[in-house]
Amino acid sequence: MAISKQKNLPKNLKVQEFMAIKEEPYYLPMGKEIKLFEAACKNMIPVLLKGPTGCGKTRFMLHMAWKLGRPLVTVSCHDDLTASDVVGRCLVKGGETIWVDGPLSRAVKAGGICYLDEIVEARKDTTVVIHPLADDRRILPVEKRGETLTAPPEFMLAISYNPGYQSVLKELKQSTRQRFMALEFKYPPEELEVEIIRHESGADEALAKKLVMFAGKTRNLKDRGLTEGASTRLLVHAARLINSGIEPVKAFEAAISLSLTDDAEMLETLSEILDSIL
Amino acid sequence: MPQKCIPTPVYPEQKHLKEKSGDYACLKDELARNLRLNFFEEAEIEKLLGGIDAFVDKKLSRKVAALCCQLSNTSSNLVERTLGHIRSAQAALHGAELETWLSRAFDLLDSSGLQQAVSFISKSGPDDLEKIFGNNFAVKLESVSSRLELYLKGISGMDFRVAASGLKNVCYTDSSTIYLPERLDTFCGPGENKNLLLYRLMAAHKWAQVAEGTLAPGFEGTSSLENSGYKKPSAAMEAEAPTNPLERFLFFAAFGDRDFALDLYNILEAIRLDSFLKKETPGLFEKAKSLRLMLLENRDLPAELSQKEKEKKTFIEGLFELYLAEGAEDAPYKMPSDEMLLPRKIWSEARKHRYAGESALAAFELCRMAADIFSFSAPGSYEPADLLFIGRLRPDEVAREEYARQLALQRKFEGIVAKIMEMPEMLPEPARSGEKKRAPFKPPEPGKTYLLIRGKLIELEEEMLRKISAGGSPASGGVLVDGAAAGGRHVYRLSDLFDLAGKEEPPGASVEKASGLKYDEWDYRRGGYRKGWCTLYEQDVHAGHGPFVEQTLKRYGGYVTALRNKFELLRREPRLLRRQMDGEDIDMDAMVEALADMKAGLLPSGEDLFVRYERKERDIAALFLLDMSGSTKGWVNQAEKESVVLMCEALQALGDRYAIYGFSGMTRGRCDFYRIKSFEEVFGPAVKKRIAGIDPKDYTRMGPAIRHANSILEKTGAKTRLLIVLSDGKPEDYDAYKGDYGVEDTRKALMEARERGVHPFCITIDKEARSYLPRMYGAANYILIDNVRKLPGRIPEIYRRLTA
Repeated sequence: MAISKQKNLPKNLKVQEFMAIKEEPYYLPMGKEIKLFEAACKNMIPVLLKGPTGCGKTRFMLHMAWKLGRPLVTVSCHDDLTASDVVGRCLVKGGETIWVDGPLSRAVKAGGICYLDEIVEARKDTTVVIHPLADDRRILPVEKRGETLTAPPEFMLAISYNPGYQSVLKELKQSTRQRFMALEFKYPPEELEVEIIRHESGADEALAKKLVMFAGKTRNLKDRGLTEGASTRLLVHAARLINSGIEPVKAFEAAISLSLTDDAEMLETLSEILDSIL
Repeated sequence: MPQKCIPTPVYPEQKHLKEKSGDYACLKDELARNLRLNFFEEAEIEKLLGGIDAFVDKKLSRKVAALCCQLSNTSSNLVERTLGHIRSAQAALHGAELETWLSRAFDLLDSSGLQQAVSFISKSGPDDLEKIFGNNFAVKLESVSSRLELYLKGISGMDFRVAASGLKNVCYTDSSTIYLPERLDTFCGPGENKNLLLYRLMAAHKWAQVAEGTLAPGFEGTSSLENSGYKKPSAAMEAEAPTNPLERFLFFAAFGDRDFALDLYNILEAIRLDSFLKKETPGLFEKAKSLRLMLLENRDLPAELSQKEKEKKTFIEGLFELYLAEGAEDAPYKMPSDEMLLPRKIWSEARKHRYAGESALAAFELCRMAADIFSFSAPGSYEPADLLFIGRLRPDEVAREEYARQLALQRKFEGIVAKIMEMPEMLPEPARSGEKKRAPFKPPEPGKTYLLIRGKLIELEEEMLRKISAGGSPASGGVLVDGAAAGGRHVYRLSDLFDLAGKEEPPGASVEKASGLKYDEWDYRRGGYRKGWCTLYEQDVHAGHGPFVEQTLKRYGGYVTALRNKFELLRREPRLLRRQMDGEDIDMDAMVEALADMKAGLLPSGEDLFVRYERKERDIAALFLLDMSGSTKGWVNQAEKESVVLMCEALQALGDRYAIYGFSGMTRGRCDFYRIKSFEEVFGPAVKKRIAGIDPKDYTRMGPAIRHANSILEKTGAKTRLLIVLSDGKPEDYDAYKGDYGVEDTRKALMEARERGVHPFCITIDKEARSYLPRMYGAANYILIDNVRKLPGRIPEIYRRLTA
């Protein structure tokens, strides 16, 4: 289905830039998020995914893109991301200027899903560009070319952000967030997280359980020296390392503790906790 | 020239000492004077002073002199003896150890008084010192307590405090604080530090006690016991029974010998808690196994006892040894095996109950079993046993903590009710444009209990709810209602309610405030910190009367406008940089030029054809710290206040975050820290009133104020943190905080600030340049203003220079 969509792409678009998802990305639903997303898609409501890092937001998007059979354009936002980075810009080539579409324009033209990851990291003026796309106008004005792109019904906008960084500077503006339907992602409950780790890394149940246990304890330490607890992604990394024959203590340390913090005392505490459960 | 910046040479430790040699002489003079007052002969004095001089290390000499000086204030006779002890200690210890030993003597002198310090010093024989310095593996609680707290938070998710139990090798918990021995030196030897492991084991075990309800055994299930032959307590017994659950339990289980029952219950529970620890902390449990065996091997049997005592003692000892070895057959038990029969019986019974999960009942039955075996003929003759890491149970402490908790809850609730009663019936509609959004309408949930008071439906914390419903009627004017019966009312959470009513502080916060914050102080004579020496209280400045701020603004009229403009220029707006190698967009001018050049056959002037936006954000938090000591009375105070007003105006235009605090106080027990404007507050009427209320108070103890300001600045998380101190001279307090002592402590506090990433800058209003300034503040970190009246005009300029 994904292929057939791509055949209808406008001619000036390069198909290979899209992520054509052929195999089903593994995703274990925790609630009604798949149903909600599908409904949002049908009704052309943009979606905001929130939740801590590494809890499965991006994987969910991949899964949904596969499920809906649409190309997915992911933009990882950073603090230097400008409006022309997402919409498009003129480039100089051999004495001529040519226009190059940005990822957002491409997604609009192709009727795909545009996923702006970590939207709060982008500059405030960039966030505003998506406003006309995210309400019922569904248009993308391309000022530089003096044209306006109208999004086809297949086009879908999704953004993600992590409310955990409680910084004043990193807050999503009300005018932005009130255009979206929100889906909240949390760390999966214990049994599900064990299953996810097992599936993703091929670890056995005992190891997965240990990992989840350790993760729980690090999540206890949030705001007591850790900004975030260990994410599911880190646990998968650790499990994979162990499966490749790395000693568990080393793997936990390298994949989890050292990724979480640089603070020497905190690392000491983490290794003590690890010591207590391994 | 209104300012002077004297460059300071760097002071390495040696140079510093040379400078302080005058101080050493001072100490000696003082000592000699004290001795003379006590009728010492000159020759004797000479001999003593010579003895102090004889220490090769000059730092050590000074320390010794400082100690002797302090002792001589009380009794001159001590000096001679002390010197003798120090000399004999010197023979046994090497340099660094001797210094530590002296520092500890100082600490004791501060914390426990002369008696303790003298008795500590008198233990200067090699054997005593061996005890102190022999075991390098000893762990002090002080150095690991914060780590243990973090560890507990990690493994349990609960917020425990860790504190010293004050008794050797005794640990217990009152359910919110875990008390551990001050020092553990049970183990020595290389490898992983087992003393630290023992600390962790103690802490984890106390957590298990709290989590598994050892401290509050439920007694509800007694009916099921009746079948097993347990008789319900008679009315007479019931009347006498204590209300604290643990005491109550012991009352029924102990049959007179409370201490024995306490130990017995403690061990039985420990056996049960093993399965909890094994599940929650398998790694620790595994490690503890070998540790327990080691402890068992080194265990001393109870000394010779009278027949009556012996029975119980040996029973407890046996049971505990079985616990340590987990009942293994071949463990190195210290008890003779014939004494182990009884304990083994109870042990195997206890093991059966291990997974039963019901604490009180199982333990009760076992206590009963034990009771059947013994005839508790002589109550009270039993001394609590040393149960190592499972420690003791302290029902009294648990009860006290519980009582305090209940009391706090009660107070908080009363405070809430009082506040609600003050509120208008109809709450003001919150401003929609404001940052705080109105909480969405929340309908009451059926089946949930709410407090209905003055027409408001309030959602309470569960614990508080339980407390209210247990107390019968809630409070005057309020009733508890079920969500289903509450109709379509809006449910308020307490915090929302107080937000809406404009009361920022939740009730109960004032109780915390009264306790004060402890800060260390640097004592240069001994080269160490006095731990928790100063107590600092943070409070609001009393609002002043009169439109001081408005008057000042009027007075400075045009200058204020100019100031605002100047500072607005500092604001960094995004800037468009033209002719860049790369950027967001094409620089059309450059492009046209380049194309034209090419068409004309010229070489293009370059490849810089792009424009780029550049924006640097000012992430600055500035804290102004005002000297509010008595000496600022008059012009200095006036100038400080005016400066503050102008700074506020300027910073308002600039948009930097800023806070204003004042400090004063009297003695180390009362360091006052006045809040004029916190970082979160806006420059509004309340702040203006407080500025008007800045008045001269008492003394100038700068150290604690700077330390507190550091921690406030640290919390802002700003990239650049600026601490600007305004003062009028030397730090000085009513007590010994004067002269070099004050200068050195202030210097140290400022150094701490730098270490913590704060940029301190000091503005001193003084007629003459003092020699101590460069040393105290550090070169180029201060400015001297000789004319007070110039301060308001200069301070914005100084700020601009600092942050540009």
